[in-house]
Amino acid sequence: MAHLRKAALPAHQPLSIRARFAVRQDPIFGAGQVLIKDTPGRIFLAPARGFLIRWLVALTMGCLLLSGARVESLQAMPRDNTTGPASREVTDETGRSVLIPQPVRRIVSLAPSATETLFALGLGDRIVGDTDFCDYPPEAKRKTRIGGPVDPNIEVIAALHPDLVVATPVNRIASVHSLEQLGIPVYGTDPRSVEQVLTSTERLGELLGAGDAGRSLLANLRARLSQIDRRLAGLPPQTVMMVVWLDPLISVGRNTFLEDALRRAGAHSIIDTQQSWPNINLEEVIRLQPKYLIFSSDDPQQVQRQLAELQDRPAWRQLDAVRNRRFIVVPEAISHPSPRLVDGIEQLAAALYPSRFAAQASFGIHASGQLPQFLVARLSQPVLAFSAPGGAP
Amino acid sequence: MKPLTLRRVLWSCALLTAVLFAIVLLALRLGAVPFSFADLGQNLWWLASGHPEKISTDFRLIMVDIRLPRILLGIVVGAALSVAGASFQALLRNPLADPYVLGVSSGAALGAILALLVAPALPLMTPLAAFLGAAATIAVVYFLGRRQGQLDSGMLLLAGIVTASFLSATIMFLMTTLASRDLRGIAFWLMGDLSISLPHGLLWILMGGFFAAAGAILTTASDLNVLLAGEREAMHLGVDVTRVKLVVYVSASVLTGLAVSVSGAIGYVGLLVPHVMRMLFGSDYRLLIPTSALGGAIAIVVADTLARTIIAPTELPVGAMTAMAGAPVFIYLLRRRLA
Repeated sequence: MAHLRKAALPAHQPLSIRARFAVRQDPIFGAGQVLIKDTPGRIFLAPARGFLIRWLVALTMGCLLLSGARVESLQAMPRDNTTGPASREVTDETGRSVLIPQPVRRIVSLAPSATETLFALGLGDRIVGDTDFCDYPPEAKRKTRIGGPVDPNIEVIAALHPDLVVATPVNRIASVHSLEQLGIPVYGTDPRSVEQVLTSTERLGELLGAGDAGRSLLANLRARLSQIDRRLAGLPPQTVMMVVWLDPLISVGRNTFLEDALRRAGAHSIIDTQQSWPNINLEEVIRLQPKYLIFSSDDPQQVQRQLAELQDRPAWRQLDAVRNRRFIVVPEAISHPSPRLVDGIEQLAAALYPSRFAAQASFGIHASGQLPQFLVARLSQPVLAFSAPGGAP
Repeated sequence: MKPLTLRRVLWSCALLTAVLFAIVLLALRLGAVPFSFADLGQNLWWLASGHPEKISTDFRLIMVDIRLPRILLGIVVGAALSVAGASFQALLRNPLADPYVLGVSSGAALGAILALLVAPALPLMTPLAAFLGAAATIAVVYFLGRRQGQLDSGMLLLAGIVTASFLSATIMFLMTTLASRDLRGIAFWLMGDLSISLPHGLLWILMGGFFAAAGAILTTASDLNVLLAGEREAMHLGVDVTRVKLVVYVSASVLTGLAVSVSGAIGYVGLLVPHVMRMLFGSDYRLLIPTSALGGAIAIVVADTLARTIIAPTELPVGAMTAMAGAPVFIYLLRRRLA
């Protein structure tokens, strides 16, 4: 046990290391219980520590037990926001089983694509909350904002009392778990091709009580896609590289809805990898020499600046597409797995094969001599040409 | 230097506890969904006095299920990180040491990534795998950091830093090569994130682990004071240096592992808070360990409240807030002490 040597205590140097360590040599928790005083009223902590620790442990244990009991009793209470008797168990596209209340009146969307899909199904008025990035259609901007898709504010979502939250692959699985723990059902979509975007939309419509709207939307989209197929019949695909991000260079891999969308627009992505969003080495791009570079943006000024800057980079000038300014800018709709994807496919196809789409008045293409194929498509005007930075716009 | 008395320890801790309590009340009040203090007081009274049935649904959903657990999590994580930081600073005799210097956070991150790849659908898998990753790192660094059979501060530091950079490189490799769809959360995780709701049971386990490990460090507090003078000096003064270093190394690593496995690597708290507490309350480890725990809890709750409210409903990463709010305070205290 503790070895106490009272004689070793100097009266005027209470914190002397030598004195204290003469007093205690005992390992964990077994310190001697003798209070050692140097001057009246002043107590060394070392011997009192055993008491202090036990006191702290007892106090925290007490607190833990008490608060634990409180929280448990609170959680044992029935909640009135959980699913009612009329609910339906389905398996969502990520393989999770979800209990969806019927009917679904209040929906929170966790991604722009989900918001667009819900609006396309005519369910826009049932959306009670969407993300900071939901800007299409314009009504989406007026909904309560719940934060970004990757960092949604769980508090705000809970306060909206949604019957269902719609998630997409851009959301984190951790957010989904947090919501589930609060008893809020989350339906996850995970389309990996254009066809799956269509069927996913139809199924969502059917689950939310908009089956008819879903079926007619689907028929319309299928008709438009098959019209594109007819126009492009017999043409060899153009080689392209989709630039998802410039610095670092990120493109799109196989088995993604975006690659499938490119293929349906008559474009063949030169990037061949199983990764969804691969980082690309520029040397590889120079070796493969895609005919077109495709950008997706809704901000023509910003993309024009970016492209002008790109042409001054020595390495990028090794690309035929850069030297000949074969850039195609499509609206961001093409990078959202929603029914708007078909708009993006139509516009990309029209930009790649102007002759096949020339008959269509709305797809008129104006190519100036200096900038033969520099096209910026916008939502209001499907395809809009910019003239060269040198020549007046 | 004033002698350390029990009374001074209790008063310092009481002061910090009062500050923490006030800040927790403020943190409960603030958030994307507003509550008035009157509402808050009324409902908290019902909660405390055993009338939970009177509490409104909104209050229960937002306060009891979301905000309160998050604040409690922040308290435990902040306390654990600060105690671990203070301990590593003594163990490595290096003022720059922080809880992550020996690679525990990188090991935990690797574990979390592997869990997300193998079983993304299981919510409890990520913290569990992260803790296992941290534990494996602790063991590896322990065996690498020994010289002549016992832990050597210099070897430990080098082994830890090399292990940390190797693990970080492995994480970057995995993040770029594997299909990136399931790894989106990892970037958040690497920055530190308190927004994830955990099962309540996990919070109790975390608290138990914190008190066990912090208590073990507290028992070695007076030895740590001597250890700072040098290992040989401590040995001559009768400190069992080998045992103290082992206890502190394992306990501080476990504290870090616990914190990181539930919240990711929240930076700067473990580095700054012990230094701030030294400036405010002195560098005696018997006082520094409890004040660091309370100070770390205060720091995280403040930083997380700022992160939640500055641009609500969007949340900032709490790791960015700890550094942004902590660095000016630290510089101010440092300059004031020098002046």
